[in-house]
Amino acid sequence: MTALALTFESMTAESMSAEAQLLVDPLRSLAERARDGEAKAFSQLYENTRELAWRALYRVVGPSADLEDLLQESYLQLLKALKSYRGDARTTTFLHRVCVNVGLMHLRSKRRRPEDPTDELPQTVAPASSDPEHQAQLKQAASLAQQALAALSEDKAAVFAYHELLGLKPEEIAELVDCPVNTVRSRLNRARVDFTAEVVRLKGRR
Amino acid sequence: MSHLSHDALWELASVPEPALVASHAEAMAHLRGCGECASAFHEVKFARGLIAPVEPPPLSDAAATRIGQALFEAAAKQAVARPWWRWLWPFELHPGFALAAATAALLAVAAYVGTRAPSAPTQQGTAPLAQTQTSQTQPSPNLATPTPVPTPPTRFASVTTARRASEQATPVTRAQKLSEGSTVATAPGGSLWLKLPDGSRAGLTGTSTLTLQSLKEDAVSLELSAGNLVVVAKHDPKRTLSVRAGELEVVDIGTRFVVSKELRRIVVAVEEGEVQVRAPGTTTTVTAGRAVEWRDGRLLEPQGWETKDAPTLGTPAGQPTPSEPAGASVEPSSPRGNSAAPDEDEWATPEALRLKAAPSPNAAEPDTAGQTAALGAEPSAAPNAPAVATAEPLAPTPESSDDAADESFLRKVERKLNRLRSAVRQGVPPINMTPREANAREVERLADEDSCKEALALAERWLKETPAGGDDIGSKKKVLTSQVRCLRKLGKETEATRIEASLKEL
Repeated sequence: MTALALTFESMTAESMSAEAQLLVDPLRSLAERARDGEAKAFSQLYENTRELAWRALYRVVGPSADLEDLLQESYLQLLKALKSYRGDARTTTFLHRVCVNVGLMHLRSKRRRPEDPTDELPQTVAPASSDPEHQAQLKQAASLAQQALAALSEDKAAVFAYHELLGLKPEEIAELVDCPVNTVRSRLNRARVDFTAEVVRLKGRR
Repeated sequence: MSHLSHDALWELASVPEPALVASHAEAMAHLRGCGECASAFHEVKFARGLIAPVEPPPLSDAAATRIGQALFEAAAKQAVARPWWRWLWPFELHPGFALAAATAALLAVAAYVGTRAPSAPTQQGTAPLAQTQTSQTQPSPNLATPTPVPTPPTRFASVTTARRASEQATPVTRAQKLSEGSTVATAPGGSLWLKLPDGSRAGLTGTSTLTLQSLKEDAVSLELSAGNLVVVAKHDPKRTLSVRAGELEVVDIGTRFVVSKELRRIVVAVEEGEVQVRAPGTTTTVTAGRAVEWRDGRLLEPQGWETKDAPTLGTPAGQPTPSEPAGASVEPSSPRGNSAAPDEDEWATPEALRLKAAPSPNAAEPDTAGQTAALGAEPSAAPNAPAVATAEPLAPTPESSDDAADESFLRKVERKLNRLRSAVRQGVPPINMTPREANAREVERLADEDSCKEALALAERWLKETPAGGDDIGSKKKVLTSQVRCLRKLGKETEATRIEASLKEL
């Protein structure tokens, strides 16, 4: 096992055999076929990853009537982004990036627009718990978090979302945002400070 | 005494019981003694608590299937739009290989051209060559100048407002021209208004996709693949304007109408005037204030789409509407015969709202596309169309879009559509179905969409209302089957088995 682990670490993505690549990233072949225009491969990719994308979007935008639309939008963006996919990042990491971008854009556009009554649709995602007071508290907390997240700058919001909401490590985030790990760490630190300050400010307004 | 850094406080707040962790003991001791840090820690803990992981509710199967279908269609469309050379060579070329191949091809072409180059002329051949060259420079008098083939004019629609709208993944901007055959799409929260060659306007809202099939001045044809389309059309018997959505074709007769296409349902609602809806096996005329819904191969008429000037609701689709004056509040000075303020006049188009502020003196000319006036003036108009006197033209003026008014109008369209969807979800009896049959179908539909609690509640009501001595067995089977399915999904196996036993007895 140790030898195998060392072998993987020493290999680059290009020099790995196809089988080894599949072990590291089982969705890679689907992503490549989808990139090359195979609609069925893209559908299969969606089926295999939709729960992951759904969770990621939920973590970023909270309980929202737009979640289903955002899920669809994320995959449409993924379809476009796949044109430049070279297999150097894991497919799930690639998908995370798209979902976070779509979610953050949604939060920012909501922040710019006044509250739209169409947001309160009957199709709103059904809450798991049946306690209305608990649900109201969760909703309020989510709303506060979303507003604070939308107030962060793009760079900080992305890093904050990747680490705090999706649990990605700084090394993975560095690969996503294409900057050094130390930059990611310092950006994350500043994002936490700004997020806390914004939450305190918003809480003081209510 | 140095205070704890924000990072340290955040790490402390991430741990459920920091006091129990040895590495945090020193920090906790500091907090006990430092009021400022304790206060900061309290704030950080609150903020950190807001983003604590919460298990999301599951994505419903119906939504997952709907999205999957839409994505498959999008991917298939993109595959068709691939560059031609991709079909010949679908593999990813290594850049070096591609460069080498291109260089080799160029060299081959150069070599071929080189072998075919003419030899240099000798001294003796100079004069004849010169003569040949001279003769070649003089045009033959017998050749006629070719008549230039006129290129057909490019037909296009103009964008008047655009927000989160794109054409083939390229954002669409205001005043952009979209040619015939273009496909435009709006993202969630987006909107797009187009001016069509015949002067009509089309608006997209929400997540929608529209193809401009034909943009001739006398024949405009649009195809709505998904989402919501609003059309404001002037009546012109010399041209046809049609919207295709799935199996339905909606033909304008001079009106303002909405078409909304979802995966399993298409709604056509008419605000003013009328349209003809052509479905497989049936054609019906839908007049102002009414809507029709195409679902599962049937045409239904939901209640809930109302206009202030609408004729009496409840008239089945396909039957002529009673000819009665449209509402008591008709006033000649307003486009819809309604003196309500713009905010209350939910359905005034942006142009109408502006024109209300500055009424035009030339109000009654049929050429200016006053929709309802034109309906009354045209001999081919439906005889039972409401006769509303209008004093102001409603034709969209070329460069007079108002972004805020457009947005407001489209948001109102969305709200009305949502209310209509709610009404439809409550169970709409189709034209040839009894209410009990319709409710049984509604139970089945709710069970299909995993809305189990609603399905069970409706099923219980339905069964309580079952008359003694028999009922429609088919509907009862539907209701009981849906009950069993839902109970199993909720883990109530005993009850499900009991009902299944009674189902077998039917």
